Amino acid sequence: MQQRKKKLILSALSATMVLTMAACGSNDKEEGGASQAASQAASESVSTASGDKPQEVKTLSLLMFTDWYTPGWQALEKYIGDHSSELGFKLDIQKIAGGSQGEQILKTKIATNDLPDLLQNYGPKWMDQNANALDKLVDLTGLGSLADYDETAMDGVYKYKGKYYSVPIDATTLMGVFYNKKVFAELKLTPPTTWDEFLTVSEKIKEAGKTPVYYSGKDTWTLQTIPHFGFSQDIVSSGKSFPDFWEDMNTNKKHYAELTNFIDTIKKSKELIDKGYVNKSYLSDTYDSAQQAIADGTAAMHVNGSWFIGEIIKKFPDKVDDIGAFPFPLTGDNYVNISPPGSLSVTTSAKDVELAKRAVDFIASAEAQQVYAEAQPGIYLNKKVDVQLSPAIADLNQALKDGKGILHWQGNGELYPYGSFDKFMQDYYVGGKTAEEVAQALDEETAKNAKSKDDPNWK
Amino acid sequence: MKSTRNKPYTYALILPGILLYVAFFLVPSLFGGVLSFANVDRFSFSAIRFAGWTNFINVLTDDYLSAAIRNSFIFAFSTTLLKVGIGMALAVFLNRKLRTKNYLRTVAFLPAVLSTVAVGVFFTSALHPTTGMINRFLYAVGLDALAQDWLTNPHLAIYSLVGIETWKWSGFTMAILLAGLQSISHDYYECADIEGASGWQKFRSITFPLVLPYFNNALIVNLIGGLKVFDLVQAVTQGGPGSATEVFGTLVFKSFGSGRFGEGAAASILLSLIVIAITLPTWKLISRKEVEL
Repeated sequence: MQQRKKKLILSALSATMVLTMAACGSNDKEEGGASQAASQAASESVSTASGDKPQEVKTLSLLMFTDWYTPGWQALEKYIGDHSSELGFKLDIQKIAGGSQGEQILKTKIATNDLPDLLQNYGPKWMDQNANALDKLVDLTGLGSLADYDETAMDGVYKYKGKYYSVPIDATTLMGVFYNKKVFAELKLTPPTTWDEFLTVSEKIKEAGKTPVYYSGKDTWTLQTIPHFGFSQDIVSSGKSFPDFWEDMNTNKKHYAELTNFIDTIKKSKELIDKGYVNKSYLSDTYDSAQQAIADGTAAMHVNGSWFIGEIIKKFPDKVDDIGAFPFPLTGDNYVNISPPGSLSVTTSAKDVELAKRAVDFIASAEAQQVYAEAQPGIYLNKKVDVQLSPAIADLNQALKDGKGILHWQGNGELYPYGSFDKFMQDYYVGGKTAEEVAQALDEETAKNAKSKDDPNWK
Repeated sequence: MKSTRNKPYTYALILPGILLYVAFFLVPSLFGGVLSFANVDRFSFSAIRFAGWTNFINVLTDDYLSAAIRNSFIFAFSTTLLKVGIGMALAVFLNRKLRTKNYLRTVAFLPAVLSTVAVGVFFTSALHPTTGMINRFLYAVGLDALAQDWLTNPHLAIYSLVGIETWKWSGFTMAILLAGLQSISHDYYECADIEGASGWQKFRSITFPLVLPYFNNALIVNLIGGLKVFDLVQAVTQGGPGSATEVFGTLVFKSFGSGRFGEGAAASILLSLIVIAITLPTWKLISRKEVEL
């Protein structure tokens, strides 16, 4: 009897434990499954009456990576939901986890034609070169809302091979150094403009017992940020235009290992670690803890993109005004890297292509973009959008106005994937590679990928 | 009544099994073999081209291959030894008449039912150098010298993974061995007691030889599992820092993840060959020592 009771208790205990762990572990999957089921249920259209004439409200499915579901999207989704009877559509947003694994899922969906009506993506060029899927995007040329955009800003990114395959969604990303203004004020410091000044400032912050520069190496992608600015210096100093520079790189005439500024900044990023200016457990610390550290002032600076401010607005709204930004200080002639906003496309799998095009037209319009921008202030390509910028974004925007903006290299220039740059950086920090070998590894990976496509330039 | 002894089953009965085997093992294996000699341009399988040995050469000249080989072997051999050793000790201990026997068996076995990803997430946070549970405990009891950068020190990271794997699977090995122990008749031990054998003598001359088939089974299963490890590494370190915990599994994943399917297939074929080359001789060697019950 006693034995049996014990057994019962034990099995109940273990069952609870297994269930708890299973629930924790498969949260994402379940979410995905649920939203898929919901989308199936919702894809049956419903009729509602609006005013006198009844209009049909159809549900359009939209797929994106989880980290693209920004506060801006959340506001816009709600706005569309509230006005669905006038608009004639509402959205069912499906999210999959991002990163290289998310990309694999997306590529598989593309290959098997399992696509939603609308797809947020890395842009037509990526869809063409990385997924062979340009023919799965609908030509959007002629949408009325496109009049609100500068054609020069759209060409090459949203307009590709002469046609508009997507419209911009989200804000432009600007990269720089985000810093806690209170810490700087306390120590009577001003934003540095050269590398030497940067080291001096870091030394003073270190003496004050705070972390000068916060690295978040557990999220390895953040380890790439400092070398980005060296790369931009190489583009500037080559004297060539961005496309011409990449023409050489993409035809095996110029190589990553020859980019001296790039390699120099890789070394500089380690110099900061060696001098003790970086948080000690930087390989275990996360992007999330970086936000916390800068917001509460235990760390003074963090190098990243303007999405960092998006997170601050969401998590520490009262600290937004404490945070400023400056271009990464190298030579005194410093540049802010610019990444164009994401892309929103209509797929050829859309059940009602005309309605999907109308929906995209609305989302790209000044009205919808304003809703998005108010929830997530930043720099938008739609010329009619008018928002108050947070101080950090305004700082970086000032650099743009001074002509110190340059298109970010990654994803905008290279024809072939260059491998896991973030991982090579990690390897460099722990002594597995030299800075030169990091650049060589990018070349080797590029060559491998070019050869697997039989590119004659790599014979 | 007719005897059924000389009526063998018709061969048709093996059809379902054969079909499943062909559809889910032979065909994919063959396709993988073909793929390993081909260049596939991402997902367009229509543009498949013969590549010769290029994919194999790419794998064998990969920067991270030597690290992957070293780590896979360290991982496979040390986890096998630890899991089988600790599993054996647990099995012998929990085969005694103890009041808490069932409770302890459950506790020891529980980690095996947890999802590897959940375990990975837990240990990633527990092994954090400054905020992790383990280092905090060490600081709290004054053992500062033992506190380590468990997952970010490139010389230590692979052993931290060995520790996690051992924690997770020792109980499972215990369960296999326990089943073996329970099949041993008590008569042998009574005899030994009468002859005045010591505990160690009983273990060496009765328990171990008779449990050897189970022991060998556990050894081989753990060895294969160790060489093929992927999930735990991916969940905890993703092969990092740098290449410090790169294993065959993460190498294969990297090739597939970059869209180079030919290279990925070549890497998995090499992995299978290595697993076979190591486990077959091991199996041959140890199975010779088994005794019939």
